[in-house]
Order: sequence, then structure tokens, then C-alpha cells
Amino acid sequence: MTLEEDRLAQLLGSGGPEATADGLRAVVARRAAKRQRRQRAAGAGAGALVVLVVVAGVVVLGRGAPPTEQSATAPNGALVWRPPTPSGGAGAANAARSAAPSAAIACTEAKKCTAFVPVRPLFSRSVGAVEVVATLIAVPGGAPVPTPEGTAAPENTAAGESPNFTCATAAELSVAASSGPTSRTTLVLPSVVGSTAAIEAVASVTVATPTGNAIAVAVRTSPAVARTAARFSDGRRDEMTTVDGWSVLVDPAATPGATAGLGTVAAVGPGGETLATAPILRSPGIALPQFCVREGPVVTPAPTPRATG
Amino acid sequence: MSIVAAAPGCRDTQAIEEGSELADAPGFAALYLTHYPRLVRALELAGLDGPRAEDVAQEAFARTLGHWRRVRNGTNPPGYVFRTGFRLARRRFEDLALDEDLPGPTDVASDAALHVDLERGLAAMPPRRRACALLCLGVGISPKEAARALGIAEGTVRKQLEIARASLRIALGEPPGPGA
Repeated sequence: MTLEEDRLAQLLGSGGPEATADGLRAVVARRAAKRQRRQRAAGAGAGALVVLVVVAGVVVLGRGAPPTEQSATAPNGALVWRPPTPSGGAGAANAARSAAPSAAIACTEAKKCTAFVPVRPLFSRSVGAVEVVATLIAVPGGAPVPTPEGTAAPENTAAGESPNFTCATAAELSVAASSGPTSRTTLVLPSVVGSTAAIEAVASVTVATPTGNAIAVAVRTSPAVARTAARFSDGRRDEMTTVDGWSVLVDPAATPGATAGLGTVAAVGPGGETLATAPILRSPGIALPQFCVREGPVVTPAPTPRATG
Repeated sequence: MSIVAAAPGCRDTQAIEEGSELADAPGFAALYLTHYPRLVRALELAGLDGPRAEDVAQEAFARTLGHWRRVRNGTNPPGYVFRTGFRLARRRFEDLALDEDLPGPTDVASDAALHVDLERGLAAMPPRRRACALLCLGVGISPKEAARALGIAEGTVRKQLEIARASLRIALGEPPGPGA
């Protein structure tokens, strides 16, 4: 072995991250997810359930990150989620209650809510100290659907509850990003039905970690998008292959206190071409509206596979 | 199994291997424990930032696990993981349209003050030469395998290695050596 080979071998043996049992579990789960996706693809028709409206809920478990703001914006600005005022019943309390993946959220158009059911694990991934777990869940009766800002409320919105959203049949992506065990918040990401945009919606949430802040960005993209990539304002980057049009990008050590844009997310096609870009806006702590939420029986999600990162 | 149990920070790794998840993949956990940190480090030195390097490394190990029966009976299981990791990293460089200013290895220089000269030598190399040096000189895989992983000709790898060797020796304060 020559000197340079010896020194390079030494260099590779120093400074790398520790191989942990959690990391090994992540690898095993990634493999399981791949196998599951292949089996799903083989048994086509599983996606025959047409989802009229998709709402993504990002559940973030993090230290000292209570939900404070109440907004989420689609990249094109067409849809704005406006939860009810505190008198309307929504807020941080709801966020905490509806955030746990095992909790129940369900609504009918008549405002009767029942438990949601985890349909299947979608993906999970770890980025630095942040662990993201995404589960596709079905809401039997419906979930809150934001309506275009400034338009009249749908007829089935109860008076005095919220002027800007209603409940409808939906599926929901519940994403848990965990970097600490102490608190959680919920982020709701509206998806535009029949949209032709490569990036249908983007929403983000900031969570405190033992070493600073982390940002989780949920992205809903069209089927033409193979991969999403984010460049955060602190220069860090993250990307992942989309899973059924969903992806969650993470900046594990975001710059604290940033008030401007958090960065940019790009939709990348199968050939590596950039199909669209959208800014990442600060939109933490979305609480599900009171009239669409109630406690229900605990549902234990199935084991979650890992995503292709 | 004893390797797994004795590894620091991996108290329950043995349980994972003994459980159903890795029951049919004997030796995989040991490979992971030994080579995951090295692969992440190699990817960082090749130009990926920390989170992405870890993501690529995880994916490389997941793919290796998918072919474990064949890989385990092969001649160089760690080489398979490294080749897979660098192949994935290459795809990411090509795919990621936002990557016009990829971070260089200087990002991790502070972690290894003892290797500053070597890292400086690596940092001065173009990405392809750096990857060739890491794979062939650092990991020990053949130029032919490196060529396949990086998507370039074997002759190109050999040429890059020749230049890389000379550069690294100069960085280490040694004469460039024959052929340089």
C-alpha cells in the first residue's frame, strides 16, 4: 500500500457518523418500502380509489415548538388556508390533539366526525437528527378543504365556523418529523384537484431540535415529477424521490430567526430537468378546524417503510 | 453476531439482526457497522453535504440489502456498497438542477484536523478525479469497477488516478513519484 492509499484509508476511517441501530433500522425499512412499492405496482388497481381532495398533515414532534401561526399557502397563491379564529375553536390545542398519528380525525359533510384509518405507510426517512414518517390515511367522511381566498364559503360550511373551508371526502398524508419527544404541531397542505402544475402545494414547519432548528417541507407534486429538491436559505440542500406525489424535504439545522423565504423547492423530472420551482414559505402550526376534528379511537399505524431519499 | 453486539452505540443492533428483519441477511449488520461511516465520509469528501451523504449511504445499503444473498457470496461486499453509493451520488449530481455550487470537501475539514493536507489535496481536484481517488485509492476497488460506478471509461479512471496519486503525494510533502 502506498503512502497516499494508506492516508486516504485513514481519512475515510475518521470523522464519519456513527453507525447506529436506528440507522440500520432505517436501511431495513427502506428496503421494505421498496419491496412494498414493487408489490403495489404489480397488483395494479390498488390506486383505483379516486381521491377528490388531498390534504397533507405534517405532524412534527420536536422540542419546544408549539404551533403559533395559522397559515399555509399554495405555491401559486391560489389557495390559502385560514383556520377559524380562536373563538371558532381551532388553534394550538387542536393541533396537538389532531397531530398524533394514532389520533382520529374524520368529518362528514354533515360535520359528523369519525376516526380516520391509516391506509398504508408511505415512507419515512431520516435527515440528520430529524426523522420523518409519512403515512397515507383515509378520512372516511371528509377532511377540511380550503377554498380560494375571497370566494364564498361552500354551502356545507356551518355558519360561524369558518368562512374559508369546508369538509369533504379526502385522503390525508400524515407526516411525522421527530427530533425530540416533547411537543408536536400540525401542518395542513392543501392539494389542488386536477391541477396541471408540477408543484401543487408546498408547506413548511419549523421545529426546535437539541442543536437548533429544523425545517420540514411537505411537497405535493404531479405524477410527472420524479424527484423534488430543496435549497434552503442557509445553503443546505435536500432531495428525495417522490412517493405517490408526496415528498418531505428537511433542513436539519436551519438558521434560526430567518424571516424571509426559507429557500426554494424544485420539481425534477425523470430526465433530470427542472419542471418547476416554488419558494418555501414559513407556514407552521396549522390547526385542523374544530368542526372537522374530534377525538376518536386510537388507531395504531402499521410499520412504516423508508423512502428512497 | 459478536461484532454487532460489541459495536459501540449499537446495543440493540443485535436484536435487529436476530429479528425477522435481518434474519435472512447474516453479516449485513456487521457490514453496515463497519462501512456506513466510511461511505458517508467518502461521499462527503466527494462533494456531498452531510445530510445528502447520509441519505445516499442509506440508500446504497438498502439496495445492497436487496441483493444481499448475491453480494455476500461475491468477492467484495464492501466494494459493492461503495460502488452503489457513488453511482447514486453521480446520479444526484446530474439530476439536481440546483447543484451549480456543490460544497467541496472543505466543509468537513474541521472534523479531521490531522488530515488537512490530504483534504486540501482532494479539494483541489476536479470532482471526477476526487471520486476516482477515493474509490480506488481510499476504498481499494478496481479501476474497472470504479469506471462502472462513475459512468466513465476505465482508461479515464486510470489516467485520473495517475494524476491524483501525484497530487496527493505533493500534498503530503512527498515527491510525486515515478510517472508523474
